Amino acid sequence: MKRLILSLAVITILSGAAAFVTWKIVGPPDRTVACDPQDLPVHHVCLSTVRGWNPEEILWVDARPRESWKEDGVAGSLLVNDQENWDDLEGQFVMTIFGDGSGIRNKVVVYCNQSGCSSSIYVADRLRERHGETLGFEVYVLHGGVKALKAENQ
Amino acid sequence: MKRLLYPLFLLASVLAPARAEMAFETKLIEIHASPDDKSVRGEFIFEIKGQDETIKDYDAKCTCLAARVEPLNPDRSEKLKWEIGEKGKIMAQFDVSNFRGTVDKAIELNLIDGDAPIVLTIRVHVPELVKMEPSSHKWDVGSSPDAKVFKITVNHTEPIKILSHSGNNPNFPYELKTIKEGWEYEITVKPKSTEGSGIGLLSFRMDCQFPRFNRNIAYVVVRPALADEKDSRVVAPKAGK
Repeated sequence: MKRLILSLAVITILSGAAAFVTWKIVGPPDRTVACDPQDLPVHHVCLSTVRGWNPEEILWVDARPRESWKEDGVAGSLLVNDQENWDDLEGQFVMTIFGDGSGIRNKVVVYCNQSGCSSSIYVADRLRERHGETLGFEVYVLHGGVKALKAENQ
Repeated sequence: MKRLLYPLFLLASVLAPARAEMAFETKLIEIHASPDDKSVRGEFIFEIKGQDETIKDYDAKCTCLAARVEPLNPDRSEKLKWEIGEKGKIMAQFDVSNFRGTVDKAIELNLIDGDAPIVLTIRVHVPELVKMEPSSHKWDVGSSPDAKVFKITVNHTEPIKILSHSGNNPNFPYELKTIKEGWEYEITVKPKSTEGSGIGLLSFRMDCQFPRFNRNIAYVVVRPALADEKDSRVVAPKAGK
Protein backbone atom coordinates (compact mmCIF):
# COMPACT_ATOMS: atom_id res chain seq x y z
CA MET A 1 0.00 0.00 0.00
CA LYS A 2 2.84 2.30 0.95
CA ARG A 3 4.52 1.55 -2.37
CA LEU A 4 1.32 2.34 -4.27
CA ILE A 5 0.94 5.72 -2.59
CA LEU A 6 4.58 6.47 -3.25
CA SER A 7 4.18 5.54 -6.93
CA LEU A 8 1.11 7.73 -7.32
CA ALA A 9 2.91 10.60 -5.66
CA VAL A 10 5.89 10.21 -8.01
CA ILE A 11 3.62 10.14 -11.07
CA THR A 12 1.71 13.20 -9.88
CA ILE A 13 4.88 15.16 -9.17
CA LEU A 14 6.50 14.20 -12.48
CA SER A 15 3.32 15.01 -14.47
CA GLY A 16 2.93 18.34 -12.70
CA ALA A 17 6.56 19.26 -13.29
CA ALA A 18 6.30 18.31 -16.98
CA ALA A 19 3.14 20.38 -17.40
CA PHE A 20 4.73 23.37 -15.66
CA VAL A 21 7.87 23.21 -17.84
CA THR A 22 5.75 22.87 -20.99
CA TRP A 23 3.64 25.85 -20.00
CA LYS A 24 6.76 27.93 -19.32
CA ILE A 25 8.36 27.03 -22.66
CA VAL A 26 5.33 26.86 -25.01
CA GLY A 27 3.03 29.24 -23.17
CA PRO A 28 -0.61 28.86 -22.15
CA PRO A 29 -2.81 26.47 -24.12
CA ASP A 30 -4.18 27.69 -27.44
CA ARG A 31 -7.89 28.27 -26.89
CA THR A 32 -8.63 29.51 -30.38
CA VAL A 33 -11.09 27.45 -32.40
CA ALA A 34 -9.26 25.42 -35.01
CA CYS A 35 -10.70 26.06 -38.43
CA ASP A 36 -9.54 24.90 -41.84
CA PRO A 37 -11.67 26.31 -44.68
CA GLN A 38 -11.02 23.14 -46.69
CA ASP A 39 -12.73 20.99 -44.07
CA LEU A 40 -15.83 23.12 -43.56
CA PRO A 41 -19.29 22.19 -44.80
CA VAL A 42 -20.71 24.36 -47.56
CA HIS A 43 -21.76 27.87 -46.44
CA HIS A 44 -19.66 27.66 -43.25
CA VAL A 45 -16.83 30.10 -42.72
CA CYS A 46 -13.79 30.52 -40.46
CA LEU A 47 -13.52 33.65 -38.34
CA SER A 48 -10.11 34.35 -39.89
CA THR A 49 -11.78 34.48 -43.31
CA VAL A 50 -14.45 36.86 -42.03
CA ARG A 51 -11.74 39.12 -40.60
CA GLY A 52 -10.32 39.46 -44.10
CA TRP A 53 -13.56 40.94 -45.42
CA ASN A 54 -14.54 44.58 -45.44
CA PRO A 55 -16.47 45.06 -42.15
CA GLU A 56 -18.88 47.42 -43.88
CA GLU A 57 -20.05 44.57 -46.10
CA ILE A 58 -20.94 42.32 -43.17
CA LEU A 59 -24.18 42.02 -41.24
CA TRP A 60 -23.75 39.89 -38.12
CA VAL A 61 -26.79 37.83 -37.16
CA ASP A 62 -27.12 36.34 -33.69
CA ALA A 63 -29.19 33.14 -33.69
CA ARG A 64 -29.09 32.63 -29.92
CA PRO A 65 -31.85 33.44 -27.44
CA ARG A 66 -32.54 37.15 -26.96
CA GLU A 67 -30.96 37.21 -23.46
CA SER A 68 -27.64 35.90 -24.79
CA TRP A 69 -27.67 38.37 -27.65
CA LYS A 70 -28.27 41.26 -25.25
CA GLU A 71 -25.53 40.00 -22.95
CA ASP A 72 -22.62 39.59 -25.34
CA GLY A 73 -23.79 39.80 -28.96
CA VAL A 74 -21.44 41.25 -31.57
CA ALA A 75 -21.70 45.05 -31.72
CA GLY A 76 -24.16 45.99 -34.44
CA SER A 77 -25.51 42.45 -34.74
CA LEU A 78 -29.14 41.67 -35.39
CA LEU A 79 -31.21 39.07 -33.56
CA VAL A 80 -32.74 36.45 -35.85
CA ASN A 81 -33.36 33.19 -34.03
CA ASP A 82 -35.73 30.28 -34.36
CA GLN A 83 -37.28 30.76 -30.94
CA GLU A 84 -39.30 33.89 -31.55
CA ASN A 85 -41.83 35.00 -34.15
CA TRP A 86 -40.06 34.50 -37.45
CA ASP A 87 -42.08 37.05 -39.42
CA ASP A 88 -41.18 39.89 -37.05
CA LEU A 89 -37.46 39.08 -36.92
CA GLU A 90 -37.30 38.50 -40.65
CA GLY A 91 -38.91 41.89 -41.28
CA GLN A 92 -36.24 43.65 -39.22
CA PHE A 93 -33.56 41.68 -41.00
CA VAL A 94 -34.83 42.58 -44.48
CA MET A 95 -35.02 46.28 -43.64
CA THR A 96 -31.53 46.24 -42.09
CA ILE A 97 -29.79 44.39 -44.89
CA PHE A 98 -31.50 46.62 -47.45
CA GLY A 99 -30.40 49.71 -45.51
CA ASP A 100 -30.21 52.74 -47.77
CA GLY A 101 -30.54 50.54 -50.84
CA SER A 102 -26.91 50.86 -51.87
CA GLY A 103 -26.38 47.12 -51.54
CA ILE A 104 -23.12 47.57 -49.67
CA ARG A 105 -23.96 44.90 -47.10
CA ASN A 106 -23.70 41.71 -49.08
CA LYS A 107 -22.40 39.20 -46.53
CA VAL A 108 -24.41 37.85 -43.63
CA VAL A 109 -22.56 35.92 -40.93
CA VAL A 110 -24.78 33.93 -38.57
CA TYR A 111 -23.41 32.70 -35.28
CA CYS A 112 -24.72 30.63 -32.42
CA ASN A 113 -23.35 29.11 -29.24
CA GLN A 114 -20.93 26.69 -30.84
CA SER A 115 -20.06 24.75 -33.97
CA GLY A 116 -22.91 22.89 -35.52
CA CYS A 117 -25.50 24.81 -33.56
CA SER A 118 -28.66 23.94 -35.42
CA SER A 119 -30.22 27.37 -34.83
CA SER A 120 -27.57 29.20 -36.86
CA ILE A 121 -27.82 26.64 -39.66
CA TYR A 122 -31.61 26.89 -39.72
CA VAL A 123 -31.58 30.70 -39.70
CA ALA A 124 -28.85 30.90 -42.36
CA ASP A 125 -30.62 28.44 -44.66
CA ARG A 126 -33.93 30.23 -44.32
CA LEU A 127 -32.50 33.71 -44.96
CA ARG A 128 -30.52 32.45 -47.96
CA GLU A 129 -33.45 30.58 -49.43
CA ARG A 130 -35.98 33.37 -48.97
CA HIS A 131 -33.98 36.53 -49.62
CA GLY A 132 -30.38 35.82 -50.63
CA GLU A 133 -30.84 36.24 -54.35
CA THR A 134 -33.43 39.02 -54.22
CA LEU A 135 -31.53 41.19 -51.79
CA GLY A 136 -28.12 40.20 -53.12
CA PHE A 137 -26.28 38.72 -50.17
CA GLU A 138 -24.44 35.54 -49.25
CA VAL A 139 -25.13 33.86 -45.91
CA TYR A 140 -22.48 32.04 -43.89
CA VAL A 141 -22.49 30.11 -40.62
CA LEU A 142 -19.56 31.06 -38.39
CA HIS A 143 -17.54 27.97 -37.48
CA GLY A 144 -17.13 27.81 -33.70
CA GLY A 145 -19.84 30.41 -33.12
CA VAL A 146 -19.51 32.61 -30.06
CA LYS A 147 -16.67 30.44 -28.79
CA ALA A 148 -14.54 31.47 -31.77
CA LEU A 149 -15.38 35.14 -31.21
CA LYS A 150 -14.52 34.98 -27.52
CA ALA A 151 -11.29 33.07 -28.11
CA GLU A 152 -10.20 35.80 -30.50
CA ASN A 153 -10.25 38.33 -27.67
CA GLN A 154 -8.27 36.23 -25.20
CA MET B 1 13.24 -2.74 -12.86
CA LYS B 2 10.07 -4.01 -11.18
CA ARG B 3 9.82 -0.74 -9.29
CA LEU B 4 9.94 1.19 -12.55
CA LEU B 5 7.38 -0.96 -14.35
CA TYR B 6 4.82 -0.80 -11.61
CA PRO B 7 4.02 2.94 -11.89
CA LEU B 8 4.08 2.70 -15.67
CA PHE B 9 1.55 -0.11 -15.58
CA LEU B 10 -0.59 1.91 -13.20
CA LEU B 11 -0.46 4.92 -15.52
CA ALA B 12 -1.37 2.83 -18.57
CA SER B 13 -4.34 1.28 -16.78
CA VAL B 14 -5.63 4.73 -15.89
CA LEU B 15 -5.27 6.02 -19.45
CA ALA B 16 -6.85 3.02 -21.18
CA PRO B 17 -10.27 2.29 -19.68
CA ALA B 18 -12.40 -0.52 -21.03
CA ARG B 19 -14.75 0.33 -23.88
CA ALA B 20 -18.28 1.13 -22.76
CA GLU B 21 -21.22 1.92 -24.92
CA MET B 22 -24.57 3.61 -24.58
CA ALA B 23 -26.23 1.94 -27.55
CA PHE B 24 -29.16 3.85 -29.04
CA GLU B 25 -31.81 2.22 -31.21
CA THR B 26 -31.62 5.30 -33.39
CA LYS B 27 -29.94 8.69 -33.17
CA LEU B 28 -32.37 10.34 -35.59
CA ILE B 29 -36.10 10.59 -35.02
CA GLU B 30 -38.39 12.04 -37.69
CA ILE B 31 -41.79 13.41 -36.74
CA HIS B 32 -44.53 14.78 -38.96
CA ALA B 33 -46.29 17.43 -36.90
CA SER B 34 -49.91 18.30 -37.49
CA PRO B 35 -50.81 21.96 -38.20
CA ASP B 36 -52.12 22.58 -34.69
CA ASP B 37 -49.22 20.94 -32.84
CA LYS B 38 -47.50 23.38 -30.52
CA SER B 39 -44.99 20.76 -29.45
CA VAL B 40 -43.98 17.23 -30.37
CA ARG B 41 -42.19 14.51 -28.40
CA GLY B 42 -39.56 11.99 -29.36
CA GLU B 43 -37.89 9.14 -27.45
CA PHE B 44 -34.33 7.98 -27.95
CA ILE B 45 -34.16 4.49 -26.42
CA PHE B 46 -30.80 3.16 -25.28
CA GLU B 47 -29.16 0.16 -23.62
CA ILE B 48 -25.93 0.09 -21.66
CA LYS B 49 -23.39 -2.34 -23.09
CA GLY B 50 -19.76 -3.19 -22.30
CA GLN B 51 -19.59 -1.72 -18.81
CA ASP B 52 -21.45 0.62 -16.47
CA GLU B 53 -21.84 4.15 -17.76
CA THR B 54 -22.30 7.59 -16.25
CA ILE B 55 -23.85 10.57 -18.00
CA LYS B 56 -21.73 13.64 -17.43
CA ASP B 57 -24.22 16.10 -18.87
CA TYR B 58 -26.62 16.62 -21.73
CA ASP B 59 -27.88 19.70 -23.46
CA ALA B 60 -30.44 20.61 -26.09
CA LYS B 61 -28.92 23.44 -28.09
CA CYS B 62 -32.15 25.39 -28.37
CA THR B 63 -34.57 26.83 -25.85
CA CYS B 64 -37.26 25.26 -28.05
CA LEU B 65 -36.07 21.77 -27.13
CA ALA B 66 -36.27 20.21 -23.67
CA ALA B 67 -34.57 16.92 -22.86
CA ARG B 68 -34.62 14.59 -19.89
CA VAL B 69 -33.42 11.12 -18.98
CA GLU B 70 -35.97 8.46 -18.09
CA PRO B 71 -36.67 6.58 -15.94
CA LEU B 72 -35.81 8.57 -12.83
CA ASN B 73 -34.16 7.13 -9.73
CA PRO B 74 -36.52 5.70 -7.06
CA ASP B 75 -36.16 8.96 -5.10
CA ARG B 76 -37.33 10.87 -8.26
CA SER B 77 -33.86 12.34 -8.83
CA GLU B 78 -32.27 12.26 -12.26
CA LYS B 79 -30.63 8.93 -13.09
CA LEU B 80 -27.16 9.56 -14.42
CA LYS B 81 -25.43 6.30 -13.38
CA TRP B 82 -26.43 3.33 -15.49
CA GLU B 83 -25.47 -0.31 -15.04
CA ILE B 84 -24.65 -2.74 -17.79
CA GLY B 85 -27.81 -4.19 -19.35
CA GLU B 86 -30.09 -1.37 -18.15
CA LYS B 87 -32.39 0.31 -20.65
CA GLY B 88 -33.59 3.88 -20.63
CA LYS B 89 -34.54 6.72 -22.89
CA ILE B 90 -33.80 10.35 -23.58
CA MET B 91 -37.08 12.20 -23.90
CA ALA B 92 -37.17 15.21 -26.18
CA GLN B 93 -39.95 17.76 -26.21
CA PHE B 94 -39.76 20.17 -29.13
CA ASP B 95 -41.74 23.42 -29.20
CA VAL B 96 -42.56 23.79 -32.90
CA SER B 97 -44.83 26.82 -32.62
CA ASN B 98 -42.33 29.10 -34.40
CA PHE B 99 -41.31 26.69 -37.16
CA ARG B 100 -42.46 25.93 -40.65
CA GLY B 101 -41.07 23.35 -43.03
CA THR B 102 -38.39 20.85 -42.01
CA VAL B 103 -36.21 21.56 -39.01
CA ASP B 104 -33.48 19.57 -37.24
CA LYS B 105 -32.62 20.05 -33.57
CA ALA B 106 -29.97 18.17 -31.65
CA ILE B 107 -29.34 17.00 -28.11
CA GLU B 108 -25.71 16.51 -27.14
CA LEU B 109 -25.01 13.86 -24.53
CA ASN B 110 -21.61 13.63 -22.83
CA LEU B 111 -20.50 10.51 -20.95
CA ILE B 112 -17.83 10.43 -18.28
CA ASP B 113 -15.85 7.95 -20.37
CA GLY B 114 -16.76 9.36 -23.78
CA ASP B 115 -14.43 11.35 -26.01
CA ALA B 116 -16.97 12.98 -28.31
CA PRO B 117 -20.56 13.83 -27.42
CA ILE B 118 -23.36 11.59 -28.63
CA VAL B 119 -25.60 13.64 -30.92
CA LEU B 120 -29.30 12.81 -30.98
CA THR B 121 -31.27 14.56 -33.69
CA ILE B 122 -34.99 15.18 -33.80
CA ARG B 123 -36.25 16.14 -37.26
CA VAL B 124 -39.70 17.64 -37.46
CA HIS B 125 -41.72 18.33 -40.57
CA VAL B 126 -44.13 21.18 -39.89
CA PRO B 127 -46.72 21.53 -42.65
CA GLU B 128 -47.01 24.82 -44.47
CA LEU B 129 -50.73 25.17 -44.91
CA VAL B 130 -50.33 28.49 -46.68
CA LYS B 131 -47.37 29.06 -48.92
CA MET B 132 -46.29 32.31 -50.53
CA GLU B 133 -43.92 31.84 -53.46
CA PRO B 134 -41.51 33.39 -53.96
CA SER B 135 -40.84 35.27 -50.70
CA SER B 136 -39.59 38.34 -52.53
CA HIS B 137 -39.12 39.88 -55.99
CA LYS B 138 -36.48 42.37 -57.13
CA TRP B 139 -35.89 44.79 -59.95
CA ASP B 140 -32.51 46.27 -60.77
CA VAL B 141 -32.23 50.05 -60.60
CA GLY B 142 -32.78 51.40 -64.11
CA SER B 143 -34.29 48.17 -65.45
CA SER B 144 -37.69 47.86 -67.09
CA PRO B 145 -40.46 47.90 -64.44
CA ASP B 146 -41.94 44.61 -65.58
CA ALA B 147 -44.80 42.96 -63.72
CA LYS B 148 -43.86 40.07 -61.43
CA VAL B 149 -46.13 37.53 -59.80
CA PHE B 150 -46.42 36.01 -56.31
CA LYS B 151 -48.54 32.93 -55.72
CA ILE B 152 -50.39 31.99 -52.56
CA THR B 153 -51.25 28.30 -52.40
CA VAL B 154 -53.28 26.55 -49.71
CA ASN B 155 -52.14 23.04 -48.77
CA HIS B 156 -54.91 22.02 -46.42
CA THR B 157 -58.06 19.95 -46.36
CA GLU B 158 -60.15 23.09 -45.82
CA PRO B 159 -60.04 26.31 -47.87
CA ILE B 160 -58.23 29.29 -46.34
CA LYS B 161 -59.35 32.68 -47.62
CA ILE B 162 -57.61 36.03 -47.69
CA LEU B 163 -59.35 38.32 -45.21
CA SER B 164 -57.40 41.51 -45.90
CA HIS B 165 -54.23 42.70 -47.59
CA SER B 166 -52.08 45.81 -47.74
CA GLY B 167 -48.86 47.25 -49.10
CA ASN B 168 -46.64 49.82 -47.41
CA ASN B 169 -44.95 51.49 -50.40
CA PRO B 170 -46.96 53.29 -53.12
CA ASN B 171 -44.16 52.66 -55.62
CA PHE B 172 -45.25 49.01 -55.66
CA PRO B 173 -48.92 48.87 -56.65
CA TYR B 174 -50.27 45.32 -56.80
CA GLU B 175 -53.28 43.45 -58.05
CA LEU B 176 -54.76 40.44 -56.25
CA LYS B 177 -56.37 37.82 -58.45
CA THR B 178 -58.34 34.89 -57.08
CA ILE B 179 -57.59 31.76 -59.08
CA LYS B 180 -59.68 29.51 -56.86
CA GLU B 181 -61.26 31.03 -53.76
CA GLY B 182 -59.72 29.58 -50.62
CA TRP B 183 -57.09 27.62 -52.50
CA GLU B 184 -55.03 29.68 -54.92
CA TYR B 185 -54.29 33.35 -55.45
CA GLU B 186 -51.95 35.43 -57.62
CA ILE B 187 -50.53 38.84 -56.76
CA THR B 188 -49.07 40.87 -59.61
CA VAL B 189 -46.72 43.71 -58.74
CA LYS B 190 -45.51 46.33 -61.21
CA PRO B 191 -43.34 49.11 -59.79
CA LYS B 192 -44.15 52.64 -60.86
CA SER B 193 -40.47 53.45 -61.10
CA THR B 194 -37.13 51.65 -60.95
CA GLU B 195 -35.07 54.85 -61.09
CA GLY B 196 -33.98 54.57 -57.46
CA SER B 197 -33.66 51.94 -54.73
CA GLY B 198 -36.69 51.12 -52.64
CA ILE B 199 -38.33 48.37 -50.67
CA GLY B 200 -41.93 47.45 -49.99
CA LEU B 201 -43.84 44.91 -47.99
CA LEU B 202 -47.08 43.22 -48.99
CA SER B 203 -49.06 41.66 -46.18
CA PHE B 204 -51.91 39.16 -46.46
CA ARG B 205 -54.10 38.15 -43.53
CA MET B 206 -55.75 34.75 -43.87
CA ASP B 207 -58.70 33.17 -42.07
CA CYS B 208 -56.83 30.01 -41.05
CA GLN B 209 -57.87 28.41 -37.76
CA PHE B 210 -54.20 27.98 -36.86
CA PRO B 211 -52.75 31.41 -36.00
CA ARG B 212 -49.24 30.67 -37.24
CA PHE B 213 -50.50 30.59 -40.84
CA ASN B 214 -52.62 33.74 -40.63
CA ARG B 215 -49.96 36.21 -41.69
CA ASN B 216 -48.14 35.97 -45.00
CA ILE B 217 -45.64 38.55 -46.14
CA ALA B 218 -43.89 39.21 -49.42
CA TYR B 219 -41.11 41.73 -50.08
CA VAL B 220 -40.53 43.77 -53.23
CA VAL B 221 -37.22 45.48 -53.85
CA VAL B 222 -35.57 47.81 -56.34
CA ARG B 223 -31.82 47.77 -55.83
CA PRO B 224 -28.59 48.22 -57.80
CA ALA B 225 -27.44 45.14 -59.69
CA LEU B 226 -24.40 43.55 -58.08
CA ALA B 227 -21.16 43.30 -60.03
CA ASP B 228 -21.42 39.52 -60.52
CA GLU B 229 -25.06 39.84 -61.60
CA LYS B 230 -24.00 42.33 -64.29
CA ASP B 231 -21.17 39.99 -65.34
CA SER B 232 -23.51 37.01 -65.62
CA ARG B 233 -25.84 39.01 -67.86
CA VAL B 234 -22.90 39.77 -70.18
CA VAL B 235 -21.49 36.25 -70.13
CA ALA B 236 -24.78 34.42 -70.68
CA PRO B 237 -25.30 35.25 -74.42
CA LYS B 238 -21.70 34.26 -75.24
CA ALA B 239 -22.16 30.92 -73.50
CA GLY B 240 -25.21 30.26 -75.65
CA LYS B 241 -23.29 30.52 -78.91
